[in-house]
Amino acid sequence: MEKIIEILQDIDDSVDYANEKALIDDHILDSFGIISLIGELEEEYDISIDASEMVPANFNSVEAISAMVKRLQES
Amino acid sequence: MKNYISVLDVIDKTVQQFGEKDAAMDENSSFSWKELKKNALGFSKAILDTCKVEESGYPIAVFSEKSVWLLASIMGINYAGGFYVYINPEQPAERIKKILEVLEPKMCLVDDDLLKKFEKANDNFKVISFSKCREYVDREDLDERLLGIRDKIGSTTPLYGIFTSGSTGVPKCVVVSHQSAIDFISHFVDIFEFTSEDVIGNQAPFDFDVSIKDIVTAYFTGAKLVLIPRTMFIQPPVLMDYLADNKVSSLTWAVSALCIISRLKCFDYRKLPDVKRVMFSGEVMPVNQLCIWQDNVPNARFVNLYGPSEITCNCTYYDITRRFNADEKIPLGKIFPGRKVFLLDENGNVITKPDNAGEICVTGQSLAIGYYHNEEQTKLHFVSFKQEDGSVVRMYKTGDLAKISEDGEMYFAGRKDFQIKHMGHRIELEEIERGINSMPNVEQSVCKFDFDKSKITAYYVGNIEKNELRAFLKEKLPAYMIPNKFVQMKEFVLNKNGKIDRTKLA
Repeated sequence: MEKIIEILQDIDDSVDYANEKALIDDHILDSFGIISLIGELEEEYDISIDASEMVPANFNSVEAISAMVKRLQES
Repeated sequence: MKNYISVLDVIDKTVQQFGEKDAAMDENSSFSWKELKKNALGFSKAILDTCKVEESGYPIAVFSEKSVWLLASIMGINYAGGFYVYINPEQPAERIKKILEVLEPKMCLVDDDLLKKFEKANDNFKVISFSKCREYVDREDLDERLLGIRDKIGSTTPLYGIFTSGSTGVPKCVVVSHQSAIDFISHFVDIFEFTSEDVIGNQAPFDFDVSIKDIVTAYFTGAKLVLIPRTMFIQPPVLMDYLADNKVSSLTWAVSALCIISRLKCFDYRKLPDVKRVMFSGEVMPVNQLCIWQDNVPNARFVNLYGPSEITCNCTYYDITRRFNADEKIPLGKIFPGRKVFLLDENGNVITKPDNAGEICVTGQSLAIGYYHNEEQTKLHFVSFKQEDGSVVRMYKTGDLAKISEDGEMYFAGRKDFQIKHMGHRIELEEIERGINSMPNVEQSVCKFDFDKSKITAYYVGNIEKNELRAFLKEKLPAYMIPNKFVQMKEFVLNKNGKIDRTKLA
């Protein structure tokens, strides 16, 4: 979680990620932010995030991102 | 090609020929050509009834998300003799205010959902809601006024205005005439063989002139426009389904938008079997991303387009007929008919020798009218040029540098000034710096752009935290102008001219 917040803060450090629950739905992350985030997550956790994973439910909060990363690491 | 006086003649022809055929769709609705024009004229009548204009060529601002109604509204503005300026709701209120101050629109057409947001930026100009305009659709008593203004619309009447970043901190509005759009798009349709069978996937927001290549091409051919909302670009599976389900055949997109699909591995999710044409502009296309596209849409025609809004969309095109190596650059290519594109050195002489960089300059068809309400910038960039035969013509100096290499091809080679291309947008770094400097407690700032990583870094001296500065800037500038990284400095190193030494920033 800490690491994910760190990655997100590198993209935009004016957002309170710990409490934000609608990163995608409220357009806090734009498409370019997502590209950076995906790249960083794939590198950091050695996973591959398919396009089909890129739905708001997987990216709206740090918890959701973390859960997705865990799931992909285990699969 | 037939002689059209205005783009309206082009639309009339297509409505007559393809009346019942689909003209445009968004996520919620679709219009046939007949319906589109009928609804457009509702907007026209609302404008004529509210503004009492007698002459053509006045600005009208539109504030809406992308939709078939937005398309009807801009068409309606043109039928009423006005030129449209689309104001993107993604921008912060302060920037919208600046745009309205420069434009001084006769009135603003605002989608009902955005009325509140717009009011935050506007207190001077007349506003009418989309729903109010829709009530005018059946007002036959206004038909005569519509005919009256039509006689006043000529080839030199402005068609649209596009705001771009200005180095003085004030955005500039490029205004383009009906004739310029007709001249360019008729070549565009011919060369790239657009037909009424095409389904155009419109990615570009309507404040980018890439959208003109979608919209006016549809006007010319009767092709169908599939309007893609920006929110789809953060939901790749939804985007790919939308494109494939609607059988989109043609993509004229910003490089950055195409790269979203290739970078996010969207082709593994779904292919785009109907796409036969992929054209891109706005930035240099990374060869590795182009290769992903070529692998996944093997039968499509790929074209690199180049040109700033001031020359109406594009002035050169390069058909990509082979695979490029990672270390190769894609040439700017051939010149569209009716215009000249050449390189000038610092003394204003045409460069003919290979490998000497010069400024790309353009003469001939389709030059913009200039910057609206900005005589100074217009004079600076649109100048007189004496040709070899002694005749003097109007010329636009792009500020882009290029080289002609040994193989005779022209290649992009950077900028003369501090303009950059970032996330598909044209940005003057000075506009960002002015934004930062307007923050109390900031003494000085410099922005740098890392081309390879496509990242803007802001260096500043002042007693303020980075995240506070970022939050402040978000209120002033559109998201794509916000630096990716902020670096607080104790002081700047000055060069011998007393200016900040940009080379000493790391």
